Amino acid sequence: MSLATDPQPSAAAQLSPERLREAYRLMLAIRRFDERALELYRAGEIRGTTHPYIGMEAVAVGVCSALEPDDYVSSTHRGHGHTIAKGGDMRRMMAELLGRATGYCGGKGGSMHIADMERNMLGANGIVGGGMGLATGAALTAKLRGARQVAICFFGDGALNQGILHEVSNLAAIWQLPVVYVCENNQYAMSARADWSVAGGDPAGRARAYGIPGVTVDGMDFFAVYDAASALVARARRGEGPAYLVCDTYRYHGHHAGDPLNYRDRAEVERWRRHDPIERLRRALVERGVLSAAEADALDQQVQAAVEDAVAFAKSSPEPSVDQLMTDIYA
Amino acid sequence: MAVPTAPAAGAPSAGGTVRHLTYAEALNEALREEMRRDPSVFVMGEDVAVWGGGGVFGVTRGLVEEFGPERVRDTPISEEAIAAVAVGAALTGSRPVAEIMYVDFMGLAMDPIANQAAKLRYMFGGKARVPVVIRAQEGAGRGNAAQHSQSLEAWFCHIPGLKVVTPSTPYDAKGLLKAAIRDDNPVIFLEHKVLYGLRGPVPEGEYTVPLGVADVKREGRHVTVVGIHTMVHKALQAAEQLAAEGIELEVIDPRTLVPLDEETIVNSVRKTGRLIVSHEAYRNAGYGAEIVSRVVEAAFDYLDAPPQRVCARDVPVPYAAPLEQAALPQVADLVATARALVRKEL
Amino acid sequence: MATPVTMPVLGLTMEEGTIAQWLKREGEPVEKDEPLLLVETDKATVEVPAPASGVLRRIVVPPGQTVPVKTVIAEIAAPDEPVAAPPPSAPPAAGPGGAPQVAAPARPLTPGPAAAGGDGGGSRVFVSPRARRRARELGLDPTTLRGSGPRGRVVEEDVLAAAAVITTAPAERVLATPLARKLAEEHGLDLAAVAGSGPGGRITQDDVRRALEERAAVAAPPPAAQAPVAPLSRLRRLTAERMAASARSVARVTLHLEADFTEAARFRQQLAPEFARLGVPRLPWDALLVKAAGLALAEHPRLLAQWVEGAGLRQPSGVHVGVAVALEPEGLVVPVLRDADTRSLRALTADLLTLVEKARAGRLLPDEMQGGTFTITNLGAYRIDGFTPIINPPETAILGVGRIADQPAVVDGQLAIRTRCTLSLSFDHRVVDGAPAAAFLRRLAELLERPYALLGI
Repeated sequence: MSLATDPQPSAAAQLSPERLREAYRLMLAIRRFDERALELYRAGEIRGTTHPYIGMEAVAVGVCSALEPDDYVSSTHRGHGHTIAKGGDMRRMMAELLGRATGYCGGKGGSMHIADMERNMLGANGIVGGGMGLATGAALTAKLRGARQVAICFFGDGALNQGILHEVSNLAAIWQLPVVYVCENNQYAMSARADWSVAGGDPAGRARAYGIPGVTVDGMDFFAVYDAASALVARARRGEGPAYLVCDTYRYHGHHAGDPLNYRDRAEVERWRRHDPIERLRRALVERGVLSAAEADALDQQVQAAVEDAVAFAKSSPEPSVDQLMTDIYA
Repeated sequence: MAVPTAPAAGAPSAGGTVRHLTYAEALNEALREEMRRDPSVFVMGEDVAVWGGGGVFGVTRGLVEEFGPERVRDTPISEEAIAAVAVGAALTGSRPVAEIMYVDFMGLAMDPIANQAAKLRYMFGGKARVPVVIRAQEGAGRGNAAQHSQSLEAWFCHIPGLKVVTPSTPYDAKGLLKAAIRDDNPVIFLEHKVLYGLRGPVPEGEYTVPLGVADVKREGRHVTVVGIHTMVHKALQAAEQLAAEGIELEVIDPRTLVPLDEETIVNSVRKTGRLIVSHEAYRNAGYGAEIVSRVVEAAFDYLDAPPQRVCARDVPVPYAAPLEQAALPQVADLVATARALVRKEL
Repeated sequence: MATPVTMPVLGLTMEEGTIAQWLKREGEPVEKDEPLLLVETDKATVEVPAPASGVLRRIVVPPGQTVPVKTVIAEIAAPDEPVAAPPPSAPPAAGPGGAPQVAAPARPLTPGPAAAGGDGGGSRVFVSPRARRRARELGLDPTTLRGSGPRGRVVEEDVLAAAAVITTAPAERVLATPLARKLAEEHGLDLAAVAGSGPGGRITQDDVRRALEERAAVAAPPPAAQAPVAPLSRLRRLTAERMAASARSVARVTLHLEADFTEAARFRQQLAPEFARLGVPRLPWDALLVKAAGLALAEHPRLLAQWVEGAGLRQPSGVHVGVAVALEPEGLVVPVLRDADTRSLRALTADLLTLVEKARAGRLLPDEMQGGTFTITNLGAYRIDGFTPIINPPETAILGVGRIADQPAVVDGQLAIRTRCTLSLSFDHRVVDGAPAAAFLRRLAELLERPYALLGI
């Protein structure tokens, strides 16, 4: 699919070493955070469920690296990656997962509802497609204010088949709203394979129906995601309207902790793992001399320590007192 | 039902000259004043700007001329997007007033209302505000048949986090809409299609009607009648008829169903010992049942007879006039029920 | 507007009723709530009050005929009001659960509770929550009242009417259905001599007829001219019902104790001028009795506990002593002196004088007759020595006071003239046993025999 303005192939190349290192650190943080969350889930310390972002880190970090701090992001049920990529605080995230008063939502939301309104991260969302209206509405606010903010709407391949996507895509197109719809095509909506459930082949092709750009990239490649996102975000910021960005990616783990995973075979998982986004970025950064192998290992240690610190913080935090039950509700 | 012509009770209290505006004009004035006052307020919905100079019922008439198409936004027929985008805009600092043309179409917009608007502030631990107003009109009486005549307020009342407003007079309509727009939480603002032409006193100048305060439209000693929308007016007519028999109805318009001014209703029942709730919504699982429950819980020891519901029949609203009228609660039903209560037949 | 009189629903399972007797003739004026007719059901004969004031314009259903409930049986209209269309000539043939025909709402508004539900219990008394609350406030047992609401539901109005006549009666009464009573009066038959076969020994119409037949069989001369029957006043009827209900449900035991009031008489004589100086003109015996009872009750609170049917005992929070005051020509009221245990004798006396005066003038306010937890009834003025008072529900005990008179008595082995009085305590054995009740009565007597504690120690 061609773009009205093609991304500069060198966009990612122009990122400073600091920003590249930061991108790598964020991707590591997402992975280690969710690995630890899975452990805690299996240990019975996380209630309900949690949806690991592991394997998809290049998408969240690639897109968010292309944003300004006050740009908006709406997320999905699989939201930890977006929060971390937007600069969220792992301590408050982990505290929320463990249902503590110090969590992002004071223990009222849990994994599926973490929002960081100070960073314009409009929340994970338990309804598939639930964030689509929020991002589009945020883009409308930006347009009405004359602000130069852009909104990113993350959603999965499952949400491609929700009616709301059609409605907001059409509305954003006719109103020329500054919003980029980022489809994280991780190949499965729970057990439903995307190549079965999504009609018409490449989902980006649907953008054509609205007369807006649609781009598909390798979602396991930080640079590819970053380049495409930069171009589409810049375009939206210029007032040229919305676009679709489809990132082909893969979730290494199940839909959620506890997924029977009877619908895909190990060989397929291994095939995707060979393209692991973190390994690829690490190799690239080491090759470019941005990072030595030792520095990369040290960064990983640092990240793991930060995750452990978050767990310790969460575990030492009090549970919410019951007198908070009826606060933050007004009707 | 004919448009009620008698101005309803509930004398306006704000200062200034009192004019007689229609319910639609009063709503229009509320929108206009709030849009002038606060640039973050904007209007969106199907046919709100161009059609007939502003809205199928004229509520948004003339607004696009004054505020321009950016703040008075016609939308495609996309009810879910209208609601969802309004919620997103509200979450990011705008104060949208979104219109769903008929409450019957709200089924298409329920996720953004019930799962997003209602819950975000709480789910996010209080760190978000959702100052959105979603307007719609409901009610029967114009032969719009089953998919354009329902009164669905109970749907919204069931969801914690939504305020639900049902004005019955021009005065209340204006004051409540202004209060709803200024509220930092989602408000479902339900108008009644038959009331748009109702004229009533609306003072010049600024006033609001706070959400959660009922209005005693008529005082009486014998039976408390809590009416919603048109049933307020029908209850006042019934009260007039029964007054001749020495039976006094106390007619209460809750004005907002959530939050509900339980105190005013309960105090009235403490006095009268008898309660009728009345709405055009279906009787089964209607909001009247909630009001009855609250009264039974709070004032059981004051009831001298079983509370009664005078509501629409549990049937899709039919088209033909005799059928439609038979499906709706009428003045005669209120009269008969009140009389039966007072005569100890119930 | 003409008011139809319909066959009332008098019980949960009642589907039809028989007109036993019209108490008014066509064309006769009637007052609302005045007894209008007697209806026989399969369970009882019940007096039905007029639903409105006016003239009984037309009797639709004659005596002896059985019709479904809610059938129009008569019409009451204003004296000058033309009766429009002729009323239905025949009662509607409503089957079991037949639809109401009169004054029914435009459409069925409630499916109604399972009217003749499977439990078949037709004897339950329905009381509206509001009536129940009002009865609680007034210290009445609402289940002893007859309700004017649907299915005989007791509504607030019924309780208020009953409260206007809080009564205690000095003696037991004969239980009889209104129809039986009426029949007996018509034939000059003394009901006390008739054995009752109805519930709680109630004398029914059949009992009276049987007794009359027996009397005829003895070939007694026919009774003289049949005396006209005055229907019971509402006050009389309510009194009767309450007394009968008390006698029916309470396990009453009466204890008698002859107390020595010599000291109390001296005490009273010496205190009276002091009270007069303080603006309390008289010091009646009842005041001393109220104060003594208050102090004794505070020490024996079990006598205050109230039987709550099916639930247990309720312990009221205050010692509020009612004093029965007879009214002319008939009836009793019981003004209540609050906090008789803690308030001073002087204050209680002043209140008693005021309340008795108001009672005799018929000016007592309802709340001056409410909330009593113990009653004193004094028949000493009638030269009665002792009696067995009926308990005033929901109270548990009542003190009967006999005449206070000088009597020969043995003091320290010597015959002496002493002022004596018999105290009779009726109590509910369900609530309190004989020994504690006796202990209370003994303590009461002690307080009166050494009366100085009544001034407060």
